[in-house]
Amino acid sequence: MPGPLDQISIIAIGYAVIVALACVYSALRWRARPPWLDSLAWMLEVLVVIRALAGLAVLAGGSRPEEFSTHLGYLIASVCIVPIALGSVPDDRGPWSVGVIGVAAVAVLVISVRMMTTL
Amino acid sequence: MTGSPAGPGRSGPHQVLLALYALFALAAGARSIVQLATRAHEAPLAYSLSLVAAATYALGWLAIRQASVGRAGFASVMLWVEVAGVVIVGTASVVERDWFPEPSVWSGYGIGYGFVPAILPIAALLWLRGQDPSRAPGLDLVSAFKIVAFAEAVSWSGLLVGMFFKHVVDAGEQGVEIFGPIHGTVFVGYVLVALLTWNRLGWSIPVALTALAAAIPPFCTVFFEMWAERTGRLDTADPRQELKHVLD
Repeated sequence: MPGPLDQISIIAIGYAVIVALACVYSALRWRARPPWLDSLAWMLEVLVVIRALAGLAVLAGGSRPEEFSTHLGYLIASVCIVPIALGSVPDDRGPWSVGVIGVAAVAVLVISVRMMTTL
Repeated sequence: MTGSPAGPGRSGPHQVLLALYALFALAAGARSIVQLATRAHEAPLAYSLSLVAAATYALGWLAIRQASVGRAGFASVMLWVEVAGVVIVGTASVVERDWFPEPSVWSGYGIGYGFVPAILPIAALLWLRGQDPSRAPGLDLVSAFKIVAFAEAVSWSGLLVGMFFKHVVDAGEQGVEIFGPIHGTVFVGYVLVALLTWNRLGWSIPVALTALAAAIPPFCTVFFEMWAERTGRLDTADPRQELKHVLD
């Protein structure tokens, strides 16, 4: 059922694609990690948090997805990934740290897609 | 992903490897625990092997962390254990389908995860080789490109033989089922190495696009590699310097 929850998910997925592509662009330039990449990643985190809060509200409203534990696992993982990735390279502006953010963006992307399919 | 700073906070490719290993340990671990807890009877072997994969990724993460501060001993064993695991479980999953009613993490050489499980330990082993200061410059990026271009052609011939037996001789699908995932793994690996080589050697856009397009028709990666070698597009002033540049 395409509801507001799916709409937020689709926006988060689209935004995660943008962050991943920004990482590819930044990695190809091979310079120090630009500050705007961190901002992009944090904005993805905000979207994912909104998605998770809406998802929790739906679950609290009595809706039980078929694969409940899997869905809940994705819900929790989705909000943890970006902060852990950024936290693991706090003072490191080297070009390789862009890869860590890229991995996080792709992970959030996959998780967001899986969250839609397990709902 | 990486819970704490990697090594002495040194920048390098190991940061990306650590992120991927942590992610896969988490993903495989959560997946197998949920599956074993809720429906273990459906595919006990597949779900247990997913748990083994998760443990391997956790140990691989530790091994790479140690190697990044100069203690490579554990990694040089652990990464080969991981390669063996992917090859054994991947092959078993395509040969003995009955053992795997549900997929495991390493089924079809990690086809469910875009073949990243097959490429990950190989990438880590390549990184580990580059870490050893006593090694003569050997497997730099250009050599890796040549190897993967050749492997791509080999996997294509395997796939074509499989297709011949399936469609012409009508002798079953086994060849395609085995070489399909192998070809997929090598294809993804070729694309990644081609992108890195493009970046490092500064190919022009048409050359880079040709390199990527060569992955699609059979055997064209080898023709591209021969052409690039002949026209000096695989030359580096000093491979060691090149690698050092990558690592910095």
